[in-house]
Amino acid sequence: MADLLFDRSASQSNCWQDREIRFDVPLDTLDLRRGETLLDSLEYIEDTKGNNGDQGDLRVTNLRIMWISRKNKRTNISIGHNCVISINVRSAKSRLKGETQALYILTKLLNQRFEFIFTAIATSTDRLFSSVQSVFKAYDNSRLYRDMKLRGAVIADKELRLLPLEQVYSRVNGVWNLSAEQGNLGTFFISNVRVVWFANLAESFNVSIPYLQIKSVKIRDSKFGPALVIDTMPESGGYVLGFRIDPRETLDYVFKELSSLWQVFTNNPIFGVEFLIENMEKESQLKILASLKISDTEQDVEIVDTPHRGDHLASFYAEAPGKGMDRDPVFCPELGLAIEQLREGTTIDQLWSVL
Amino acid sequence: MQNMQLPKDMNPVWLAQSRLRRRKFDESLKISSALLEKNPYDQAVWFLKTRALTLKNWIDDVEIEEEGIADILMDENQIAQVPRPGTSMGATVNTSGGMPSQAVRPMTSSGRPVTGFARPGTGSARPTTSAMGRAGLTSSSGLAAQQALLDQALRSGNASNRPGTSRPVTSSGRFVRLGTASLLTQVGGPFIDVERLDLRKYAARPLLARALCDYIIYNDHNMKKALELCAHATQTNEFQDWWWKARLGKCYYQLGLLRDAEKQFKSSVQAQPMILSTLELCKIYLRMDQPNTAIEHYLAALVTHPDEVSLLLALARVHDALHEGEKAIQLYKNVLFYDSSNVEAVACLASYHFYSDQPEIALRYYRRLLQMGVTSCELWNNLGLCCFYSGQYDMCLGCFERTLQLAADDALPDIWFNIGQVAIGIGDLNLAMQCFKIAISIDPHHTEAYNNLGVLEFRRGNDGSAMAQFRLGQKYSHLVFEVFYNAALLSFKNGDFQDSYEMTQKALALYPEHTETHELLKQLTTQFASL
Repeated sequence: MADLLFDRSASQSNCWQDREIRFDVPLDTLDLRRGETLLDSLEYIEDTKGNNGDQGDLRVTNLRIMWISRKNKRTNISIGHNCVISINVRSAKSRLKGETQALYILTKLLNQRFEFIFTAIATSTDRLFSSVQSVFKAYDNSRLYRDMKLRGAVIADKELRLLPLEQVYSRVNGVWNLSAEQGNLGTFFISNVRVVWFANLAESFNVSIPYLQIKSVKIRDSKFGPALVIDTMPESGGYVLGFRIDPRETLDYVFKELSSLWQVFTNNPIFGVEFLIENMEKESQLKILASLKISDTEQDVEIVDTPHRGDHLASFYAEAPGKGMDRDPVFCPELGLAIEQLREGTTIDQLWSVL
Repeated sequence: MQNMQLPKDMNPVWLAQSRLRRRKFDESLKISSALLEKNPYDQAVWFLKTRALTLKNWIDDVEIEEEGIADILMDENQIAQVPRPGTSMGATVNTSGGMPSQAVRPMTSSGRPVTGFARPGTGSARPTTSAMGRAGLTSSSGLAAQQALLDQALRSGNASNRPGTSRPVTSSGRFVRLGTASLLTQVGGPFIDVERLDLRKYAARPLLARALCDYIIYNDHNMKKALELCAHATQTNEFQDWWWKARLGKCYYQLGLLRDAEKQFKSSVQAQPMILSTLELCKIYLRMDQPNTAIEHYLAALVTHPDEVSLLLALARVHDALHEGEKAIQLYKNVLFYDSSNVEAVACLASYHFYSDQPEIALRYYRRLLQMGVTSCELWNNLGLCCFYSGQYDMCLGCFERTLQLAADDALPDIWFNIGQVAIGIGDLNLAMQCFKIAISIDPHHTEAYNNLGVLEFRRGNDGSAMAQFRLGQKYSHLVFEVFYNAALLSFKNGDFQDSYEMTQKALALYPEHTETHELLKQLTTQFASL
């Protein structure tokens, strides 16, 4: 019974905000999800790569960067931090325009590379795009909160190395990992962010599963007897991890604890992105901003069709338009290296030579 | 120096070495300075710190040919005062060599077409009295003429964007400036007090001596001391070591003793044919205005180092300076055959093709630069122009938008000037007007923009204001023949034949092969004859 209760559908807790790039989405998807907080908001930003010359606002949350047009809120972009490869700020100084800064974001999604260029139209302040960079840095440095990690350096001297916002709730000894034939004796750490198992004989044999990546927690019968089974999300590999804990009371207790912690986490996820806003005045302003739901501010007629990613997509390609996907890598005997498969009728020599 | 937090069990000397190897000079300096405070006699650390300081301030002085006004006008290193054409770099205008004429390709100064690639010391013509070349110096009234020349050089060499070289001109400016800047980086005075060192003692230790020598050259710019050290060191090496000879040569060259430098480099190249020594040797020959000797040396070096790109490039530059465009282009193509990503060769070829009526090919070259990851406002500007002239209108304005985004004040006037050209191309004369006005608002010395504005004003029938624009343009640059020709034409139309005649003369001095000017002159002379 209990496992049915807690076997939620994936869609409820599935978090796409930091893993995808979406264009022109319905307005309700621009609202902050649970656990997402607005960290900074910049006004009068132009989306230059899209070439529409539109003014808009840039909003930075702990999961993504959103650009929303001022003229029509349906023109918008949502860029998840996880897709970002690099962020650069270039500034140009001139008497004509004052000092303007441009933000170059290079991203990658499903083998397609997109480039975004945001330009500040108003004369800049010195902290304009620095927040975007530092939020991304904070996101980049806190991946353990959100990603499953196999055989990482998460254990030191039989103790869990805690993340900044983490508290360990319980430690369970004598947990058998059922991934191998003979099983492995190890230890569970259950915290408010993740569950970690490591083998007693080899600390480097471990797994760290954040609640964000857990699809379901069940108790199932296996050939080793009743076992705790954790399914993970398809984007983190879709693993099925089985653990055997003796006796049965302990197993039930662990299952209950894990389920309730997972549920609490789902209601209010901790993404681990820590970012301090520089001045307090800004903070109060942001609170107001955060309380405004984007979709409430504009009574928009809901158009019922699948949210298609219109022709907008093409104008954001980082390379020349028309090259969407990378071709498969093959071995190139001339260079002795693996290269992307050449197009029909081209050779390495032709591509290299400019003459 | 505060104590650095070093990881446990890590040897600080090793760490400083590793940082130096990864070119993290400041971090390496921090560690070695802290170590030297503890033990000032640690030679290994002293060596590390010296190297770090040297590399931090290192500039590739093979690429630098700073010639200040004093160097150009006051010293007389070349032998021939009136060399035969083709044997000297002196600006004698000859538009042979199959290069686009002045009517097509803009000039930086009389007889030097705009290049595709600016290096420090891209020698545009020497500031002398217009196209008379160096002969002007030996004119009858020696001193007075020199004074006049100096005045002219100082006037044209102000740091607007029409300087004589690609940087503001002072007496070998860059070396002096870097010396003062490097002192600021160190707290509590300089690291090594060169004046107090016993150089003889150091010269006996080969490793320390080399590090110290480079430190004195690149960090202190104290050529006299460096020379002393080099002299002692070559003595201890019994005059066998090519490296010390090359360094001696470098010191002599920077002190302006070209003949001594030549001797040192020559014997260094004989002892050990290195590419760098050859390049420096040829730099001296170019400084002495003996391009053909330089070419011989380059070719000889190319036999020992076949297909060496830097030699080919240097050769191409010399041919460019001698107005032998065809040969230079061939050489640039050779460079690209061996190194398809050489920015200088690609840029020069691109500009050559653009001005010889092949914008599509130029576009291909510039796109190559873009693929290589060059993103500068100049590149986007060139791409925009190529797109426009090869009829790819969909890309053109996008490129110019990119350009405007990246541009700072120094490049903006030219960019607006180019947008003005595009506007003329699409027939939007109002936009063109605005563009040229913006160009002038940013750079009040933009002669080409004045000229085009004048033409547009003339089209509107405002003869007076057109003339004013031409006059302004003439005031700010003596090198753009269009301004003079247009003014002459306008004066002729208004019947001011005397003025027109003067302008025609000036235009002809700048561009002798211009047919229309000759036509105008003919008409003027018939007018004068009939009076």
